[in-house]
Amino acid sequence: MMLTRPIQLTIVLCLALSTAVQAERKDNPFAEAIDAAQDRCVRLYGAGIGREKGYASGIIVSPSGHIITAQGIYLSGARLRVAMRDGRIYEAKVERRSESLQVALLKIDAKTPKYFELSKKAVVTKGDWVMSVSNAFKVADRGEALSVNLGVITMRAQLDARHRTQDVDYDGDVLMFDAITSNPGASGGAVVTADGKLAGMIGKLIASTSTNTRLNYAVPADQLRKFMDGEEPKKVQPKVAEGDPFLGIRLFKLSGKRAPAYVDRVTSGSPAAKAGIRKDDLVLVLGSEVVRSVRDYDEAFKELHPGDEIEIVVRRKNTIVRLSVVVAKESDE
Amino acid sequence: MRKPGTQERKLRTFFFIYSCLPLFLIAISVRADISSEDLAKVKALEQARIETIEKVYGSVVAIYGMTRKGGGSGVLYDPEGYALTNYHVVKGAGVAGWGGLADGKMYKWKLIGIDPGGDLAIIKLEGKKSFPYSELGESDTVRLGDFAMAMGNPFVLAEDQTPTVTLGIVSGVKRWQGGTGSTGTMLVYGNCIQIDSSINPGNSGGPLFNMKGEVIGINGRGSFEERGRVNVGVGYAISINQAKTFIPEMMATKVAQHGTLDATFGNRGDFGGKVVCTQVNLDSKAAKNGLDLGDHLVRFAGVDIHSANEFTNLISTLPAGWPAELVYERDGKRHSFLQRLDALPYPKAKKPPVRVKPVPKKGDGGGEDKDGNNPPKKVQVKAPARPSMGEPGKIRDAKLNRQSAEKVIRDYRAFLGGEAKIANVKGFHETGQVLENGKVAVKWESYVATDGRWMENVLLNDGSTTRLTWDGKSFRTITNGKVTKELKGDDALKDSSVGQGRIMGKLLYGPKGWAWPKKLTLEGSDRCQNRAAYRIRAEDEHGNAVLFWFSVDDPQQGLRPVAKGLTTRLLKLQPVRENPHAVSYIEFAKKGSILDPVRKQVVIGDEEKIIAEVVDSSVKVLTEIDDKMFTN
Repeated sequence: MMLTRPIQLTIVLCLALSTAVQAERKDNPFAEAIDAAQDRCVRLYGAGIGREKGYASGIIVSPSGHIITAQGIYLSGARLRVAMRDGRIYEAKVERRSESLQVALLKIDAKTPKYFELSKKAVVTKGDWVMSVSNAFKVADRGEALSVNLGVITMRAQLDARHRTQDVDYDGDVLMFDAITSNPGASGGAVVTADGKLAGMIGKLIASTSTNTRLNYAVPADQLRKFMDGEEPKKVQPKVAEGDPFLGIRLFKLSGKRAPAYVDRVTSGSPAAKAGIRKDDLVLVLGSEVVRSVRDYDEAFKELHPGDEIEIVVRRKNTIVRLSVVVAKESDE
Repeated sequence: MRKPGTQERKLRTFFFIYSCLPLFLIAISVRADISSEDLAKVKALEQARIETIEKVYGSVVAIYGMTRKGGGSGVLYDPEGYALTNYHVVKGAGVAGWGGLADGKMYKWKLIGIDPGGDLAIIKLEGKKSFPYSELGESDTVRLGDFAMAMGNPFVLAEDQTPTVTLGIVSGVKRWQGGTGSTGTMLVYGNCIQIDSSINPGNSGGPLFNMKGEVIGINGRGSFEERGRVNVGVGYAISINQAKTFIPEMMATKVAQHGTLDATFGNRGDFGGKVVCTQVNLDSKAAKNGLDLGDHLVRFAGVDIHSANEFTNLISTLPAGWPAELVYERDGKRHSFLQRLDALPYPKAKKPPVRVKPVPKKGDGGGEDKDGNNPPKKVQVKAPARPSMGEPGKIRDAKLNRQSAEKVIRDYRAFLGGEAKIANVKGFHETGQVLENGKVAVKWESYVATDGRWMENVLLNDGSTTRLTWDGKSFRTITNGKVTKELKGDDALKDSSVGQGRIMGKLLYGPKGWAWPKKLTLEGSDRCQNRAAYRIRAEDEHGNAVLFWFSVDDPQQGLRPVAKGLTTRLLKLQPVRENPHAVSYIEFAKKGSILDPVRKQVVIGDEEKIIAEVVDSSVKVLTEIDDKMFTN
């Protein structure tokens, strides 16, 4: 009977788990993969500014000292040091960066016979077990092993580039998993399979400024390979030109920020005017946000992007009116 | 809508990230692809894990203060109700509180002892004859990638007191998490275990289990930098071996102190370079023993040292007073010494805050004069006095301490075979030889009754014989057939040979003998036979004293009569007198109905240097005593 890979793997892991209950030492199906990864991952120390940490992780990807890592502030200092598993420390130079993938290729002046092969094809699929190997929180001191977290690939998905919100600059495919890797210092760490293959690299930290949640993801090995081979995808232009949103609505603000969001004036010819919004309308919903006050309106307005088609719900006398508006750019006017 | 799909995509991502707990979900979702055999295996595995969890579930304690506020976790390791937890869990509660078990009931606990430096504490639950408990495992063999289950009461979730289980792997071993407090000597996690099993507030003090259901650590903290105090996949557990080392200190009701050499070490050169002494207090024992600046540290407490961090990690897990050997190099020459570690001081306890309450003046509503004149009188309100948790290095509660000492001896008697079997033992008849440097130095025969009477024949190499007899009334020394010394009554009891023999016999084999000696003190942790031990001092009414070392857990696991939490065993005993010889008990075996030591060594000093081996000893357990053996 043919088993799909994740199932095979799951069974292998489970078997190992069961023998763990009976046997003493066979309870660790990950030991070999972890050990191999420890040889192929490095700790990076560079510049830090304010809350931006000056340390990260990296992956050795060639026998001649090439190391791949995530873009970060630590790369911009005068000195960048790479610490190997055995404690040796080398100065590294940044050879190349990729804006679209937010990764960088480093080079140290040393032979690195133990390295990860970057696969041209996708290495993992939904349901596969993976382990992240990184120096999260800088806990691995001199000669100590890097931290290992266990997770399962939940999906391979495309990240939507939303440059303006600064959530992420990268819009290619990412691997997502349930291991927590969005920690300081983990960027650039390896995500490996239980049989020791490199599945991807923990990417630059992606955090939502509005929800304070972070994404646990990796840049897949095949994408890294393209970068290595110089075939990386071109930086995709954000789908709309940058600029501040413009609707052409001025609210009645004299009663303060907590007052209801009544429309005081609509600029003629503006998107709001075209959509049919009128003076004295009470804005209830802007985009996906409920508006209870002038303050709510201002906050929801900041989240708009020129080019977006949004819904505005207003109360006009005793009726609720739903209107569709295309957000324009401030400079358009 | 703005950007239709963005919201949905976000949701989808979250769904996948947070709901895909792997194993069985995957197995079920693609069941069509899996053979029934494989599915059965997967299910069997899951079943095994569930059974392990069920086995240990009852031992996990939800710990609250007296007011049932706050909340942490703990784990029972002994059927009498002793549980390990974090110091920072009981710190707020003080010396008593409530503990909830999976049976849904709340039990009162009282504090036994604390280790603020290592963030550990022992509490004792009361109100049940026999509590469920978990076995303490071995943390030195824990490897990166091992599965590990954390249990406890995160976010004080469990209304019914049942613990939460989170499964993860060991993310790192021998980690260091620095301390807090003004001197940085509180809550230090040295050589700790890093895990990705979810650890959240409330998990503190709870157990970390391996897949056999043995406790390998006490969960205590996580890296919470940048975000709230919730799990970010980086939790830390105090290794259970460190806990075992400190159990005797805490059982002694002490505020355990950690050891220091009063010297610091730094790395010189790249990794693999030297670890050199960068600072040493000239008044410290280490300096007096010869350690100097620039000396290259090679080995400490039996472990080869490769980095300064390794040394710091190691010493932070050892208690003050622990004998540790230091090997160092100077000018290519090796030196070494063994010393008992000095105590690392704790920050001085802050005085309880004094609240100052202005007294309202009659008439003006208590306001202050606008010019600042005539300031209102202030009354100092003292915070209600809280029972002390003790002072560093000192025994807090003599009664509880004795209770602990009696418990250790009781456990040892259980290890030997139990009270019923010991009651049948009336004495021992032993013969053997003492080998010094491989040569027979002494041959001896002893006849010991458990009521305290004893006889010993000693044959020296030169052919001379000495016979010592104590028949309960008089103590005779018979050299080469002639009575050379005779002591009667109290005079005999005051003699150290009689007194100390009486302590040993009655304490270890006498009827309920452990409760007898006038003074019975658990002094704390000590190293014996290279493992953690309880050191107990027993003293009779005449001032005769014997020191006993009992292991925290049994070095000869195979001998456990029944699974009974930690099994303690006699490792060494030393009559307190001028000559510093002690008898080390190496091996036990079944003799008659009870276990008896079959291999012993005569050792000396903290190094436990072997000066003689006791061999060819034949032991007979007696159920009847021949009174004649003690008379002539």
